[in-house]
Amino acid sequence: MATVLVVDDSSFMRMRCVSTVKELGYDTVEAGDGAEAIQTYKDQKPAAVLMDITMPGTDGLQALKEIMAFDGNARVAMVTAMGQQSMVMEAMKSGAKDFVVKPFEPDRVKAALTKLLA
Amino acid sequence: MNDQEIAFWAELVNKGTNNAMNNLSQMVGQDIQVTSFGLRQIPVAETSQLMGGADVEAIGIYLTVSGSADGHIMLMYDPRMAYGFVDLLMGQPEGTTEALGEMESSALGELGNIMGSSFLNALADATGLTLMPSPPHVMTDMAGALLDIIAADILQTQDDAFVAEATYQAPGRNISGMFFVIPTQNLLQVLLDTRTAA
Ligand SMILES: [Mg+2]
Repeated sequence: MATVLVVDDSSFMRMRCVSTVKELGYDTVEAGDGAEAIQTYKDQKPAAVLMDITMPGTDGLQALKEIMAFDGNARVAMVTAMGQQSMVMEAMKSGAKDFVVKPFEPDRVKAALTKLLA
Repeated sequence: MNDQEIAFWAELVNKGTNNAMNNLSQMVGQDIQVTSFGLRQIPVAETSQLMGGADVEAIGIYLTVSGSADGHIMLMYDPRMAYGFVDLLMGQPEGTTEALGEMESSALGELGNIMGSSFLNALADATGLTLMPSPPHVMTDMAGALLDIIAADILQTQDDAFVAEATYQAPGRNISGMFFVIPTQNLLQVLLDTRTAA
């Protein structure tokens, strides 16, 4: 079964995200900031990543860029409250495959994952 | 600010507040209602009184704004009201939360992140700017001490604070909170400049 890396600095939001991902039957690993996300990606090579943007230290955009540099085929969807047009454009340009704005309906995250893992 | 500038700022704050409240409603599954809304220019020294008194205990969720310019966002709650929002967020019966542990603080922080980001998203998309929130800081202290964090920063460059404030409630649970946005003079100027730049 594929493993999904859930990245968010809020443990409350990770819990929500993880339960949505698990409903689809995937395994999860978690990271609480961008640096941890990069390390976990390199160590575990998850099949997909759900990536927050606003986090302490290395933010989600930087982490996205470093993960894409490490693995050009990485499948990353942003899941963030930072839904500004400039942010969406930069994330897509940097290799994100989808952009989900929080607060999300669980079905929206499921659709993103289905697309990522197709 | 002249009349047109005030009208433009009011329109932006209105958009931002509506977006924040809609997303709060979705997040807690309640039809959040704004009970009062206002823009004020007050001496920075008076900001400590914004919650109605400097020495009432409060829970604050604080974010700084960066990007095109700097500013401050603070959500403030009477502790019992904050616990009520935590119960909604965590899908618990009213009265379950009696203190903030790690998960409760994280839930409140994320509420602040989503409301603050929603507010900034509306302003940014209306003006073409990029306005990024910091990660949220959840703090319990006297209201005046929490608000002094903002005052200490803006007093370095200005004597007056331009405060946008909204009070809101979740009618189903009889809980309410306050949302403050305090731009630096520089942020206000950058926002107002987009009015003529277009
Ligand atoms: Mg975050």
